[in-house]
Amino acid sequence: MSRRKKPFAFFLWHRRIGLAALIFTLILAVTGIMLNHTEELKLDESTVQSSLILNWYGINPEGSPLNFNAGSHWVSQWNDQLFFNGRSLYTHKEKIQGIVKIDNMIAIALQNFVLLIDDKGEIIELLPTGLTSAVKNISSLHHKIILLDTQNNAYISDADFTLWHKTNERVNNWSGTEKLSADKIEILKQAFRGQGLTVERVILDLHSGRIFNARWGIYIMDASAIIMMLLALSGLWIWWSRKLKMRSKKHYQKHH
Amino acid sequence: MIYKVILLLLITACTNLYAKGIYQQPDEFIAQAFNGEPPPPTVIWIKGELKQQIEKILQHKNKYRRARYWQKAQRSVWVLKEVGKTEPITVGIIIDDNEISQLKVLQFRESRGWEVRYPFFTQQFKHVSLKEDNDLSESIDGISGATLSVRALRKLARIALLLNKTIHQDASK
Repeated sequence: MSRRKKPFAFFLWHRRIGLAALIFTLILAVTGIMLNHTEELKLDESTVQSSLILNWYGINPEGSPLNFNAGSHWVSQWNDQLFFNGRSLYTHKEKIQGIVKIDNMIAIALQNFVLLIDDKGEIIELLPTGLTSAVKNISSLHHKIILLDTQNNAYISDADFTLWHKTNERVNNWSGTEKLSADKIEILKQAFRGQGLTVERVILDLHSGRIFNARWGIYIMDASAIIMMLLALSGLWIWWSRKLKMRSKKHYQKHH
Repeated sequence: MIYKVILLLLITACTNLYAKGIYQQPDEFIAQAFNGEPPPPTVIWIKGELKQQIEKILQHKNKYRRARYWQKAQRSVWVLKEVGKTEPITVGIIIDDNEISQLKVLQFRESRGWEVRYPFFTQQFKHVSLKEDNDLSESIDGISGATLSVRALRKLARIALLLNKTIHQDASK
């Protein structure tokens, strides 16, 4: 009696395990196909906008944003991200020291560079200053940029902003930080979070299981992979045992 | 066995560390190109048809609206950047009489594809010029495992030659 029940019980377990692994198998298969076509699907260029996923990853800027105004424009920095009128502009590790508007351009002083943009937020050039000391403030004079370094030396640019010469010109209108309203901070937060996580990262984490938990998430996918191997073996065993059974049945019918 | 695995991991880590880095500062490269007496930089605005041509080569939007170059007689020197996979590769290009005389990888920040910095690859660009359709006059052999870096360098070579052609055309007007 018990001998007859065994194959049936085995088949039941094969089915149960198969159903349990179904979700993870689908995740593995779909994400695997997507990762094979990262470039075509532009996964590495697309960023996640979903608040749910961004909250799951805990993506939030640290500290508070730094902001400078130039006319109606506002240039801000939150961590390494630079923003122009609340729109993501550039990523740079150096801290903004000030900004100045010259004609239809805005010069953003970093510690060793000046990021030149137009009044629509298009990047013109990232200019290396080449100064021996870091820049601490920026101003303008006769359509040229004036930089002040940490040694309190002032430097004036040429008309193209490519070369810097020491100057004794007296400048009073140095750039200063401006406070941001709560609405603008919220705009920056949204823009920051939107740039922080690529779709490729999420798909990779789904594929490896790290999305469930950074530490033990991979073991979920490991377990799924082991279950799939067991399913393959148990499926083979069921097929083989049925074949043997049918063969012996036919043999019995033929000879009796 | 475990020691072999550790050794293999160490070699891989060291290779990656060695691969990424600054091989030459752009200022040094420019000075070297003019025997220590570089001319002051000049700028070229990337707009209109030139912008379209560059974006066609790049196959994406051009990030900067202005490029800087150094020129003396028939020699022009360009320091350009393009992303390989995720990080920008900085390349120095010397052009003499509308032909590349040197292409050098100055900074490489990617974790793969650093083989493009070696002379066996960069020497292929020597004496390469620009065809009418803004393609390179010679084919550049790729490196397996460095496809994106090779592609980035080919694009930069084409852009430098195109910019060089534009400044000469503007000068002759």
